[in-house]
Amino acid sequence: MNNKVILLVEDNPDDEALTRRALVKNQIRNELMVAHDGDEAICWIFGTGQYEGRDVNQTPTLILLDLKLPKVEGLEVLRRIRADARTRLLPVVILTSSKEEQDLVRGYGLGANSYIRKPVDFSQFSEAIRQLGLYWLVLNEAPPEAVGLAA
Amino acid sequence: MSNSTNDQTPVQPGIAAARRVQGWRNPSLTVKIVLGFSVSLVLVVIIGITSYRSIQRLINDTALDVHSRQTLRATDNLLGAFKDAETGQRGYIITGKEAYLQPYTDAVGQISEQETALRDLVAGDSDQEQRLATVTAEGKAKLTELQRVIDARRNDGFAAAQAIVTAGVGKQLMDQIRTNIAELVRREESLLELRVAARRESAQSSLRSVVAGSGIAFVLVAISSLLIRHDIKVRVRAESLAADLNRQLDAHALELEATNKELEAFCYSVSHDLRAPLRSISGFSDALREDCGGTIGQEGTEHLSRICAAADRMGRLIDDLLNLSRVTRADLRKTPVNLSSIAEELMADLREADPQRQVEFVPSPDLVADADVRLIRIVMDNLLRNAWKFTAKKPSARIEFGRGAGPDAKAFFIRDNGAGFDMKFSDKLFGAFQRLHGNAEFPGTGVGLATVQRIIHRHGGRVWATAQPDDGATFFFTLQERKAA
Repeated sequence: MNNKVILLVEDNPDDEALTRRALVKNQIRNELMVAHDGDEAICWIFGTGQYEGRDVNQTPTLILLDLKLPKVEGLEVLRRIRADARTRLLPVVILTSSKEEQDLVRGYGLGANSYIRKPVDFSQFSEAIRQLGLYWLVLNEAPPEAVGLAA
Repeated sequence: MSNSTNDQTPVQPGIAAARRVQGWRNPSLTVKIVLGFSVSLVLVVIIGITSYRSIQRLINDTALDVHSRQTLRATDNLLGAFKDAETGQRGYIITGKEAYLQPYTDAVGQISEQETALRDLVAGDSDQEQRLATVTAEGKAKLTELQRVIDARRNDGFAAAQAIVTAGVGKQLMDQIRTNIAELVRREESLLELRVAARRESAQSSLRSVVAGSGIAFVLVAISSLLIRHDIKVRVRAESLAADLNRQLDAHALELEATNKELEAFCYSVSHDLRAPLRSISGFSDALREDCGGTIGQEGTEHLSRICAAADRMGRLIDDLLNLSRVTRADLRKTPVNLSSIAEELMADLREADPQRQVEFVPSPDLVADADVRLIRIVMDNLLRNAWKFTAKKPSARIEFGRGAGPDAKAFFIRDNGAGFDMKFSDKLFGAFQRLHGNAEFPGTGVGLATVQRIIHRHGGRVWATAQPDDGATFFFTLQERKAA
């Protein structure tokens, strides 16, 4: 398990707290960066606006992306990530309440790596976070950094 | 549109009116109009032919009249010539001067000329020919007699000539000639009269037929014109009504589209926003139980469990409602679907999720129907899941999938030997949120069968059930029984 930052894009403070709790509960100790709307997420990823000057080479190891967000919606954030050479290979997991077919289709169409619907039941939610951490932070081999930058 | 068995959608009054007005297509009216014009046309042609014939006859008759008049004139001339011949002969007899013979000599040539002309004129009329031949013969005899008297006067003197004249042969011949010529004239005049009478009759009759025919044709054309005018009026009215209805329909379609968009946005919000608080309730209850379990005690922990279960149930309810709305909105794409293999897959899923249960599954193999595969899967899933659920308390549970018999031959069924239900509540079976069992006994949201019914109706089919309490239930459904809504 690496120690790089996980970026959580989530506007609901309850969901943020529950996600934190689930991460802690499953021994996932990576630093958690929380962006509370789509705009903040984009600024943080690309070092613009309020995050002017941030070292953008410090890419997150995983992005957990909600879809329904203030200012800029989640799918737009995903489109921007995939459109930029520096971030286009970053693992992005859509973590949302919606299981509308259109969201699934558009999410995968824009290059999401996974699509997970948040279960109401916390133990199920916690289990989902555990498996997610296990897969993306431990089992999955990330692409070499240079590939992401050179491409 | 012309589905009379569709009793679920009442026909709008406007549409019914449009259908009524569509009667202008009624072929019998068109036939009537065509018939009216055809008959008028035929009448006009008949009138034309009649008039033509009548005029033709008139022209012919006129030629015949001229002919008759020529005949009469020639006859007159002939008689005149005989008189002239006699006059000339008498003058010579009395005077003995050759100069008095001139009228006689002229008349002899005239007689021959007129006889030739008359022969031509009466040619073809055997009576007249006969008469003319008689006149010619008598004329010849008369001329011989005249010549004989002239010769006697010239050679033997006045007394000899007078003796022959006094004998009366000449006079007798002359009388016969007069009589026969008068007969010729009478005959020709009567022909002329007959023709005139016939002509008058014919002219009157063609006048009558022209007047009557024109009248009838006029009436028919007038009726046809009225019918056409009426037809056009009705057609214009139908078209304007159709245009109105189309405009209304367009407006309704727009409204419906707007409503659908609103509904979609609503569902999206429900799906996203209503679940978030439930997650908080469930998540923080769980946190509370974990973090402060010791403080709140056994009873507190139980309360928290109930809160979690309630949140969970509401989450499922929301999901079911979303599914119900989704099956209404989803496009229907029909393909041949093997229902039997879907049933077996779903049963395998149920067994996997609940491995300790022993349920006998009896499917009829390879039952195929035209259906939307995703939607019909939801139907089968709901019905099999119900069968699975309501047989939970039976020691030897059994679920069947098959095709109905007799009057239900078009129907598929899923039968179980589970809890069943009382048929007097069967009308509540397919209503949303309607349940025939308590949640403690058999959990559920009461949306599953409403979803099933909606999908089956969208396929144009019917769904119904038969059951007895504690003796199982059978759910039947058909696809495409009537035109899909």
